[in-house]
Amino acid sequence: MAAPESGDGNNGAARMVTLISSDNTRFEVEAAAASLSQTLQLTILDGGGGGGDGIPLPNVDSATLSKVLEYCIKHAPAAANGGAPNATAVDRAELERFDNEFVNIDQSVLYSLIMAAHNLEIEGLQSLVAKKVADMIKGKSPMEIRRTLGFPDPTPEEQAEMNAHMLEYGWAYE
Amino acid sequence: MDGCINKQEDIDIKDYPAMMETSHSHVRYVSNNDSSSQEDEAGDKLSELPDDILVDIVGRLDLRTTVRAGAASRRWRHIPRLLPDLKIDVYELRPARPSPQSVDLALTAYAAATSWLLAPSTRRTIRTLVLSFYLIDPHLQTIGRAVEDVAERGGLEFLQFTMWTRPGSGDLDRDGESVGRLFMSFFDTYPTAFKCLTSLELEKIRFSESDISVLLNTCSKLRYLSLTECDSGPASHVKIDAPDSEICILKLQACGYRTVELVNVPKLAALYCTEWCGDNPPMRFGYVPCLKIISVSFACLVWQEPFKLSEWLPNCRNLYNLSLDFQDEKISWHTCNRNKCEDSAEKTNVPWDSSNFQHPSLTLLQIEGFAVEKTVMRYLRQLLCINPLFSVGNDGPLCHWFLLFVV
Repeated sequence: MAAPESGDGNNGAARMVTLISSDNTRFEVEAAAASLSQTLQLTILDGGGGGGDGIPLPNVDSATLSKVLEYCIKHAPAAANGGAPNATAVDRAELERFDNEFVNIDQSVLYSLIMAAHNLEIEGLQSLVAKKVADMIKGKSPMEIRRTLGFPDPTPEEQAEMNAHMLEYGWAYE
Repeated sequence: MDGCINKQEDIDIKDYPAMMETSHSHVRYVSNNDSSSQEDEAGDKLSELPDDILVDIVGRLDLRTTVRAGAASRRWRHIPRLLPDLKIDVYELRPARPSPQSVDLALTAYAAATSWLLAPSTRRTIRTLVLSFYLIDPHLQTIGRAVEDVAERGGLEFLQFTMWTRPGSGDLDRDGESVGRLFMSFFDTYPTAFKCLTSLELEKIRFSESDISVLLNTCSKLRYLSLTECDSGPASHVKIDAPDSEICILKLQACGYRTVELVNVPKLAALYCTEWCGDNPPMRFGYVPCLKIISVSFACLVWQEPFKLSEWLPNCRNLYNLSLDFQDEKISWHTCNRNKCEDSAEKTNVPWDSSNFQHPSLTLLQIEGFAVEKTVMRYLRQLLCINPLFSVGNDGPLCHWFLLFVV
């Protein structure tokens, strides 16, 4: 039963795989998109995820998985084209626009996305979210970094440590 | 586990100055009292990300924020010193307000940043190190020692030095020799670092005659060398005899040499030579079997000897890209517009004689900065006849002729 399902479509129909989130929601997605995940790629190459089987992802909830797959579906054509060296400027600009909008999200989603990109080893998404966090804190002081990322208030000891750091590394604070 | 990194126990905690109990209260920070519990939760999570994700984030920051990020939370404290790839540029540390002390202040901060960021840790191996700094004592020694330690620990795959001279010390006759001595002493003092060096950019240095060959033979991994406004004395000649060198790309920009003789540079693939005002031809080729790209810009001034391209390049049989820029200087009646100079007309020091020009691999010949006239066109026609691969319909590499005429 799995064989015809997992075989590459002979009639041009793309092969589909099913991913199952931690809260048991099933997502059917093109194998090419799911294969952006290094973690899933081998399973998919081995024919997994087709038919009624589905690949369980116990660390990713449905809201996050849906967001991750949105990224994968958008980036799959370019990735299939070897990083799209021949992509037109318009295509590249469109992906860039998509990426910028994609990470314009609140911090709890950003956190889940970072962890999911990491667990699923989706290289482009890992870079995108890391860059987003870096851009959020660039040029800021330690206290501003804490606030931007919503860290809890520092304890008096932590506050003293930050002050000491500022004295010791004055050049980094000019 | 990693035999190279056993010099010192991980120093994350014990020497980190932020750990010092202090009663100093230059409190610039104020407490954040208005955060919602939801944000707190997300913030807690963000502060607790695994090390490799934090390294990925912090590795994308500028130098100053990198250091500050280490103070933002205890969890982040050791992250700047787990970065495997570091670029530390002295320009990032220039004081906001320029002053006569700017360079020294920047370099003081730079030496501190470098030795702090490069401190040993059992948990990382530094792979890439790109450093640009001023060639000024005594901070030079702090930087040198830090890099030497990294090199001795092993694992360094790419090391680049870009060394600037103190602004205002650009007079080679006045300062070049002392800067040259300082550089060579730096080179001698940190041999392990220089053995790992893959890329080097220098400016405004007067070398002694054998320095460049010694440098190339000793820095066994050096693949890229760029010299700007360097020489070995007024109107000097330099011979580069570096049989052990791996150098692939050599760039000479506005260097004051009369001639450069590449006696033996076995791996050299590309030679870029701009603003040449020495003898013609600007360089002589000995054993350079891998040389594929030559790009030279020279004015062929009236006092420079005429030379034939074909006699200049007999040892460069693998050339596939030759670019000559005559900087709008002449040929015949041409009046220069790019260099804002009226050139002496009727010059003959680029003899357009193609009788012996045979470079079967040549696919790109780019000549610019000269005026079109009959002899040039005749020369190009002759080239097409002499080099069989140039002719249309051959199976050889496709030929591209980029002739950028200035009229």
